[in-house]
Amino acid sequence: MENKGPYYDQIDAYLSGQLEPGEQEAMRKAIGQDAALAREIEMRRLEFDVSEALIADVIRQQLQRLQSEPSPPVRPPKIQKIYLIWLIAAILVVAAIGIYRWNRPASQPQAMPPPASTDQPKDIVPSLPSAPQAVQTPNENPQTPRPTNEQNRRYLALATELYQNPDFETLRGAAPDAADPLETALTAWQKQDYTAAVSALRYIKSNDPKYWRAVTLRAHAQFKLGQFGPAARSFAAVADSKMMPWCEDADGYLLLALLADGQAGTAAFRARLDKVLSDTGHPWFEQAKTLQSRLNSK
Amino acid sequence: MKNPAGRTDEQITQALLGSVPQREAVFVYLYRASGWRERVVQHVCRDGGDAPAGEDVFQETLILFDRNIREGRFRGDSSLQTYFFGIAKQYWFNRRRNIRPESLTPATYSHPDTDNPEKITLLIERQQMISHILEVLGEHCKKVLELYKLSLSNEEIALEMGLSSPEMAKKYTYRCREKFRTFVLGRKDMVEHLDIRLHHGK
Repeated sequence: MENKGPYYDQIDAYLSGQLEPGEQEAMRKAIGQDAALAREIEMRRLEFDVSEALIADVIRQQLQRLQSEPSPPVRPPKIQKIYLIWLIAAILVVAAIGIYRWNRPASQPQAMPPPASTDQPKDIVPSLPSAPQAVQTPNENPQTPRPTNEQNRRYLALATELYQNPDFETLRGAAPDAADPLETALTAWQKQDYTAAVSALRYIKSNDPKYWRAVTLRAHAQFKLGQFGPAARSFAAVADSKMMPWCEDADGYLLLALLADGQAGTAAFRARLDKVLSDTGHPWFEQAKTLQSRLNSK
Repeated sequence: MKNPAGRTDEQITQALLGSVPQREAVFVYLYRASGWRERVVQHVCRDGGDAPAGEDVFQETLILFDRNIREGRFRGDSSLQTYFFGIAKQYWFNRRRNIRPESLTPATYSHPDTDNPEKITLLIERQQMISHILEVLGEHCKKVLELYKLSLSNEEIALEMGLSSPEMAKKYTYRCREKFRTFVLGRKDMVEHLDIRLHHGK
């Protein structure tokens, strides 16, 4: 807008009622004396109303879409059953991974290594390692199964126990499109095809508006696949993005991914845990307290 | 254990003031998981309405609530939930008594004119005018005006619109606002309407 006088910059604030009482009064007087300013105010008010009508339409459309979609199951009794099923499924996956790791030769390049020992902390700040590093002593025979750390196994079990599935509908957003990679990934997730979910999100670009939702979903799929290191890196990226609401949930899931990855003894894990514990309004505050007390009791 | 999907008042406010994905997510939350919708529908059903009317009241309340939050009208004297129900109850009360014409802005909604036919006529005229403007603005310009009103940065507008840079977003916004002004100023009936409003001091 062309700047014609001292009041022209304040039109938006005036129309929103955000001027101080004195400024508001001065503006009213100026409007009475300046016909052009008065016309400008009315023009701006009309633009406000048109824009608000557009915003209202967007909200109505979103709610109509939500109304037409089937509602998720009613919470209390069913949700516990769902979590129980997920927990059993997760335990089976973790057990399968454990057996696989136990029987796999250490030299196999693509396989998941055991969680790092707490004696050899892996620091994920400022950047996470590109892949979890296998722990191998010089005298170890590469053909023999590597010993697993009992404490890390307990951490893994704890992480699995505390993990809860994310809110799919929040991830899905308002305008699902069947051809959308995020939509494809969500469908794969619902079918528990986590490899397909990760794969669908491989090429999503950082300038895509759904990028952070996609990274969040990828992180969960990686977690489900037992790829705790990559999952931690993905959750850390979301947590550090400061994109609400994704970042706060990512703070919590990052703790679980680090825990499962054997990094509970690291300074990075402690810093992340302290961050959540220092914010009583954080949605993961209670879980973080539970996590802390469970870790301290071990 | 607290449900991780639960939102505090501050988180809801921040999301409404945030980016498009944040707003979409919080609307999904308010619709599906907050319990507010069920309470509004329950109130409407108990007070002579039915479930579809309750859904409608929830929808219109959400629109008013969102605008009030964005424009800083909520002073924090109560919880957001209490504030939301306050709007919903007043909306339903007014609607049942046919106090006001459809879809007023929050400011006029708070003080409905029940005894001034001239003002009501002006409001109806204005709604027709807005509908007409919406018909002639292109989809692109509508989106730009919507995002601009949500106080998104040029960078965020560029991201939402798929534009190559914040500078492009700034240019688009300027062009669309000019298109709007030129259209209104070129319409004698609309200019007259604005002038009448001036004389009414609104």
